[in-house]
Amino acid sequence: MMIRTKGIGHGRAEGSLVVSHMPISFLGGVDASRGCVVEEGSDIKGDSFAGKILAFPHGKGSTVGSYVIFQLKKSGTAPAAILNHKAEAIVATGAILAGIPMLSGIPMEILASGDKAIVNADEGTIELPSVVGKVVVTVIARREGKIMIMKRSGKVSTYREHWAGVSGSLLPGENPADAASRELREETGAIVKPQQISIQGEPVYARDGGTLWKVHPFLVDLEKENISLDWEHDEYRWIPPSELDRYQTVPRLGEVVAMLLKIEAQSARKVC
Amino acid sequence: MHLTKDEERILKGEEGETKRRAIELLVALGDLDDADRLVPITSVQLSGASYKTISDAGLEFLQEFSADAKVSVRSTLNPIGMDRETWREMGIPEKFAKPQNLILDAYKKMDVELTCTCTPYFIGNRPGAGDDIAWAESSAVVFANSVLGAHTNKEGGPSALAAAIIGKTPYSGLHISENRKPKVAIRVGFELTSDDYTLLGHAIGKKIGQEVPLITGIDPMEDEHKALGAAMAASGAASMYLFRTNHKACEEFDTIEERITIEEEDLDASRDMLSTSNDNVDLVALGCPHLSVREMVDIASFLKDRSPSRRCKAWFCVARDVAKHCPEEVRILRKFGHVACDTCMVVAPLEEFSRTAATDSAKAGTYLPTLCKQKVVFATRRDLLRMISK
Repeated sequence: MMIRTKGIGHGRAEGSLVVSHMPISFLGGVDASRGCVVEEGSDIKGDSFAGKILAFPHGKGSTVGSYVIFQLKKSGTAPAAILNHKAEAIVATGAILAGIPMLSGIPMEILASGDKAIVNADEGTIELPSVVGKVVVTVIARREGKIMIMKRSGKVSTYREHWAGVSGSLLPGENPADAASRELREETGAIVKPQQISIQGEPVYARDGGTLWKVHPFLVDLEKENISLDWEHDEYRWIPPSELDRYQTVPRLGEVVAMLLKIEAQSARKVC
Repeated sequence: MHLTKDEERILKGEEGETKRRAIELLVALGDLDDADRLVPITSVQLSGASYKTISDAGLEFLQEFSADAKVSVRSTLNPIGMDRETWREMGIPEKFAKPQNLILDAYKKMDVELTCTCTPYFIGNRPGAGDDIAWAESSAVVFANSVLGAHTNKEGGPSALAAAIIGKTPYSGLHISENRKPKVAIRVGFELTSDDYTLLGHAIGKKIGQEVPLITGIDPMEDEHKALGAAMAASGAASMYLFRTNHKACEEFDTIEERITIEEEDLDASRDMLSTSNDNVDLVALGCPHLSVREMVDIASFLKDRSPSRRCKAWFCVARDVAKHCPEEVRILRKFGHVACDTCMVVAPLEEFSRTAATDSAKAGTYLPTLCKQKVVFATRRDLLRMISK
C-alpha cells in the first residue's frame, strides 16, 4: 500500500524499518559511530539503524542534534530515510544538511519494525509493499449518553466474537459518510442520512499483522433503543463510554470513541 | 510556500550545491511554520561557534558548507570556547584550541565577521525597528525583538547560516506583526534593583511559554534589558517581551488572555533555584551576556581603589571590540582577573579547571550546572567583586 504525506528535503530510499514509539534526542541519545540509539528506556536501544529507514514520532533535546545527524551521514551510519509523525526543526535541519530523505505526518501505529518500505521525499510518499491497506468506517451510535457496541458473529471474516461499533468496508468509489449511513442501515436497520451524522473524526490507523486498517470514525445520535441485527452480529449493548475497557474490542475502538467525544466537546465549547 | 523565480533557480542547484541546500533548509523549516514565502533580511547573528557545543560534527558540517558559499548579508558570530589571543593562560588545552581555530577558519572563509560575542548590538550589528533579521543566540534574539524592535525568530545555528547565505528567512512567527502582540500580562508590583532584572527574567521565563508577555511596572536601562531578556530565554521559551512603566498599559491590548503578578517571593524562589553551592569558589565569572562599556566602567570604578584578594580566578567576559573602547578599564580589571574576550563561562571548557563558579547572571546560572558541570554560587555583582578584591 502507498501513503501520501509531507516530504522534507528530497531523494528516494528503500530499506527495512526500525520503528521507535518514543522521541529521539540525537545529541547524547545516539551513538554516531555505531548508528544506534543508546538512551536508557528507548524501545530501540542498541538496534542499528544504519542504512535502514528510521521511524520515530519526533525529535527532542539540543539543537546540536542537527549536526549529529550530519555526522552520522559522514560516518556511514546514518539511516537511509527518516519518518516522523510531527517533524520539528532539529531533525528536519539535520536531515536536509545530511541529504537524508524525510517524511512528516506518518503515525507510528501504522508501521512495524522489519517492514520493507520505499520512501520518496520529492513526492511525499511511502510505499509498504508487504502491507495490505483496507479502508473501513466505524460508526458509534449514541442514545441518552450511552454508546452501542455490537458483538461480531462467528460468520464474519475478521475479529470474530470481538465487540465493535457499526463497521464495514467502503464500496468502490463510495465516500466514507455514505458508507457510514449504508452500514448503519444494514447492520441496525436505523435510517440516518449522511448529512445527519453528528460528528466525523480524522481517520485512525490500526495495524494488525500484514493488514493496515484505515478507519473513518463517525458519531450518530439514534432515537430508538431497539435495533435489528443482521448476520454479522450476535448481540448488542448500550453502555456508558467509561465501561468500554471491560470488553474485548476490535483494535483502537476506545481511542476512536474518546476522539469523537472530544471533538464534540470542543465544538460545543466554540458555540458557547 | 511561494518562491520567486530566483529562489526556484537556487533550489534547482543552479548556484551551487551549498546554496541549494541552504534554501532547501529555509523552505523546509518555513513549511513547518506555515510560512507562505521568504522575506529579505539585513542582519544575521550566528550561533554554533564553540567547539565545546558543536564538536567534530559541527566542524565537519562547517568545513563542507564553507567550500563553495559565502554569506550575503552582514553576519556576526557568537562567542567561541576561548580567547583567541590568551587561551593558553586561560587554561585551555591545545586539543581544544586546534579544532576551535578550524571552526573560525570555516566561518572566515564564508565572510562571517569573527566578532565572537553574544552582544552584536554593542559592536555595530544593531538593526533598527521593523528590520527583518535572522538571529540565533537566544539572549540577542530577545534584545533585538524587545529593545531594538527588529523582527526575528529564534534561529538555530544551521538555519541562521542558511539565512545568511541566501539573504532571506521564512516569513513566519515574530516576523509577522500580528504575532508580536502580547498574550499574557505580567505585573511587577515592587521596586527592582539592577541586580533583580536577571531574577525577574528567570521568574517570568518559568511562568510563561512561547507567548509574548507585556511586563508592566518596569523601566529598565539597556543593560538591565540585556539581563532580563537573557534570563527569560534561558529559563523558558520566550523570544520577545513588551514593557511599560504603567500598569494600565494592559488596556491598550485586546490580545491578553492571562494575567500574572510577580511578587518578591518569586525572585527569592529563582535565587534559591540558581544557588546550588556554598563551597569555595574557583571562578568568579562576570559578563553573561557580554559586558557593555557602561558595565566595564562601573566595575572598574568599584575596583580601582581596591586590591586583588587572590582567593579565586575571575573572568570578565566581553566583546573584543567593546574592550578596545575602554583600555583604561581593561588595565584595572586585569589586576583582578582575566579580561576574557571572544568567549564566556558557558561555552568555554570550564570543567577543565573549575568546579564551583560564582555568577550574577540567571542565564549562566541555568547553564553552568549542565554544560560545564559546575556548582553555582549566585550573588549580586557587588558581592562578586568583593570576593575578588579587598
